Amino acid sequence: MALSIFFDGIAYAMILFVLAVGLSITMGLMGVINLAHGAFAMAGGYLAVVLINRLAVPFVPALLLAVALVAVLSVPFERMLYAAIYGRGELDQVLMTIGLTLMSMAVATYLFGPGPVTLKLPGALDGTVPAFGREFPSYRAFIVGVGAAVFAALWFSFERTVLGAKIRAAVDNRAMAEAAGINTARLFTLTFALGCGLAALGGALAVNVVGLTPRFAIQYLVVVLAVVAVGGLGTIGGTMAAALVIGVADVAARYFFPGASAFLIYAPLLLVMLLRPRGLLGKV
Amino acid sequence: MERSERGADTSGVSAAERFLKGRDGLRAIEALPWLAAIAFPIAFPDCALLGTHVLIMMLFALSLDVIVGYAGIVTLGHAAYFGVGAYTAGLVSARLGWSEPISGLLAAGIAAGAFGLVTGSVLLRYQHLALIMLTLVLSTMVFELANAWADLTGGWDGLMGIQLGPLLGLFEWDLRGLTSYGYALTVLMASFWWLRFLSASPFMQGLRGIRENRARMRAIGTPITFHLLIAFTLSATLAGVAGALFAQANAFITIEVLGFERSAAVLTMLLLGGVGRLYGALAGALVFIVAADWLAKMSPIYWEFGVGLLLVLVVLLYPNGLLGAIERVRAQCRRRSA
Amino acid sequence: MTAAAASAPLLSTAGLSISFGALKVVQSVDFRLDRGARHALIGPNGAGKTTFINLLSGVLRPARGIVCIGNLEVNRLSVEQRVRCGLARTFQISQLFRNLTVFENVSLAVMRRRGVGMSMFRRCSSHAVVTQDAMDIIGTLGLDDEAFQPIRELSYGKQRLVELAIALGLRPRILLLDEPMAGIPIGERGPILDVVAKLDPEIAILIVEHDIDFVFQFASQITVLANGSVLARGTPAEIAADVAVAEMYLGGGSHE
Repeated sequence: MALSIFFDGIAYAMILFVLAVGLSITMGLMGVINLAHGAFAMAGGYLAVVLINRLAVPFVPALLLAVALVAVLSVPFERMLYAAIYGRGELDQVLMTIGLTLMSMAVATYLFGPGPVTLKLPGALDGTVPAFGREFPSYRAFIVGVGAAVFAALWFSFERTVLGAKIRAAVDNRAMAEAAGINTARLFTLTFALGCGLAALGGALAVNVVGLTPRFAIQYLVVVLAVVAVGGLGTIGGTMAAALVIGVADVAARYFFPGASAFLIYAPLLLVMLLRPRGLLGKV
Repeated sequence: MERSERGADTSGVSAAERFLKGRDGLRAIEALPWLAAIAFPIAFPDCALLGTHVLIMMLFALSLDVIVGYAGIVTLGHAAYFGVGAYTAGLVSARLGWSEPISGLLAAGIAAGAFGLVTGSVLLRYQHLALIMLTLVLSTMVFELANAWADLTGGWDGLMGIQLGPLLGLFEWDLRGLTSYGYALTVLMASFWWLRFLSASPFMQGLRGIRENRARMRAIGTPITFHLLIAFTLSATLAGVAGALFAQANAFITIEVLGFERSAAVLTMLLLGGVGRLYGALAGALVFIVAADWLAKMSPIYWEFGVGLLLVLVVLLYPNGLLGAIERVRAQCRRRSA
Repeated sequence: MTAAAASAPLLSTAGLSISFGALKVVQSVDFRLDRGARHALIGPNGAGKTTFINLLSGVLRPARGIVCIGNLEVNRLSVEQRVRCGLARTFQISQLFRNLTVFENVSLAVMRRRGVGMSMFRRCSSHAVVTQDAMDIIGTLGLDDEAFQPIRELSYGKQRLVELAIALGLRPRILLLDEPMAGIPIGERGPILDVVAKLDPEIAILIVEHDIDFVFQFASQITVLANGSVLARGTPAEIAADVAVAEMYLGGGSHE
């Protein structure tokens, strides 16, 4: 029993990680409080639903296509809307991105209705897989695999590629990076697209785990922001650590204390954020 | 232009006095919204319920203007204080059987203010993103606590059995909501004029200084956290009073009063009207609630999309809100006629 | 007793040190500033001058050593508590209330000094002494014409004057001026030079400045900082004659 709760927790944590890591990178890089991240995640979820359920695109290509579409779609948003608020106060950033979120929720309700939708899973992901002498739902195993792959790919590209080095440099010190000849405007656009693509992947993966409704855009906002804050801005390892702790604790609390679970999660989160405002692994 | 040294000095001081009068002095036009508010239920007695809702949200937006508009602190969790006030007033009546409304209102203000004092003393050590996240998580925690403690709060089903005795022992609560309207208007006016007076005080000017430049404010000897804490407590108290009015006027609340959507909505109203000018909070709440009522009658989707679009447009085109936009137009007209 | 009190420095440090990581930015600096002093702190970029000012004003806490105001050790006092001891400063990069008027900028400082910064029960307009003090300072600095303009609309030179005006609004006993003329073209320094030259002779002034001509004319004492430690100190004549200073700072030539 404990093992399967733990496994569910890991799967949930991977979804949180994929949802949060893009936000962590973009907020760390651009210094913009983007509350519309959940809207891009929701867009990924609904796109996956359309591609798979209505257009019968095979599962994995559909996921990749949804991610690519949202990433491309995010470019005009970044260029036309976000670029206008980079230097502005937090209030403007908070409100514009809340505005975008509300609009996305209205559009989603108009197109798909207020009720939950689910993905048709391919047979291979619909059953269970045996491991450690018991059976685990294969879709959750798939999510854990995807999460781990995303983590590895991001880790590698941040540490080993030129783009990653540029992003790290610009997160540390934007003025210095610009002085060193890094085109931050293009870097911002690329990174924003990457972040939104990751959001879309998280949204698509989440559909059959937590359910997809138009409220998805804000339903998971607080917990995703908490993962970002606890993990520390712009850190991949920290985000993963925070996602694992929060994801597993959340699922466990929901099982053991069904009435009070959410409160039990947020109280320690608040404490961590107060004591380590730069994140779990960050400097105090 | 030859002036004696002494003459130049006194003219400087009188110029400063004129400047302060222009900045803080009362204008005749300020009576207008209040006359309109008094006339409204007489002209449209059937709309008193909607009017009461507007007045309550005006008070809530005003409370937020103190910290967001004047001190420049962004919070995503102000509904926590509104909700503490609402539940204090609600529980005092529904669980303790205390039905006198004004003491319930005061208790709610004190409870929310005390909660603001305690939470503010921790929150205000942080700034920027960390502060926004902390307010969000803190208010979510309060919301979830109320949800987990549904035996007491009624949770999503709502708190039943809020019963109020007649106001001042004289006015019964009528179904059209005229008593509620008068009650809410009185409380709003008292709070507003207090803030209006306060806005001309060194205390509120100090908040503007903190918003403009913390490093300098510290370098002239301001204990910033303490100064902010007083403002935060004041703001939480007023938010709690607004929440109490909400609970008393509706005689019913659910944990929705503590929700993130309410925090976001009140920020939206404030931005819509224009921050840091008190009247912006009034204008924003009026436009927001009336538009919400009107659009939501057609379809909630329109409302959601409309307010979202409005937010994006206001941020991009009119960062000083509706009142800021009106001032800009008036300044342009004056320049053209000059 | 009175003689001892008179000879006690207004502001002093002993063995003051701080490091950022492995970099020792200020190293065991002993320093004193007497009543009415005109003391200049010079040295090449990165010598630790601004860091030293930040240690004195309380923005930074030293790793070792002490800061004293009068006979009081103030190591544990915050920036705002040191202001209450009579210490004011200006910033190398202007720190102004950009959307407030000149009058409001100066008033905020005056209100703090007069102890009414938190007053909630009277309007600004009824604090007549605040208005009077603020307008006096504005008049002294020749800012009357701009008194009611927001800072953001002022020329850079005028903004530097406001930077000084705010500090004067605190009527300090000790004034730390961190490059008051930074960024102003040589030809436009007249007004601010005049103001600095005419400051109340009772105020103890420590000025960080790169304009050597001004420093030698203004200061009665000069401390030269290099790599965080004191390279030389003395009167302008002694500094001008100092070989080490000449080699390191004046590029090998002596100053006339």
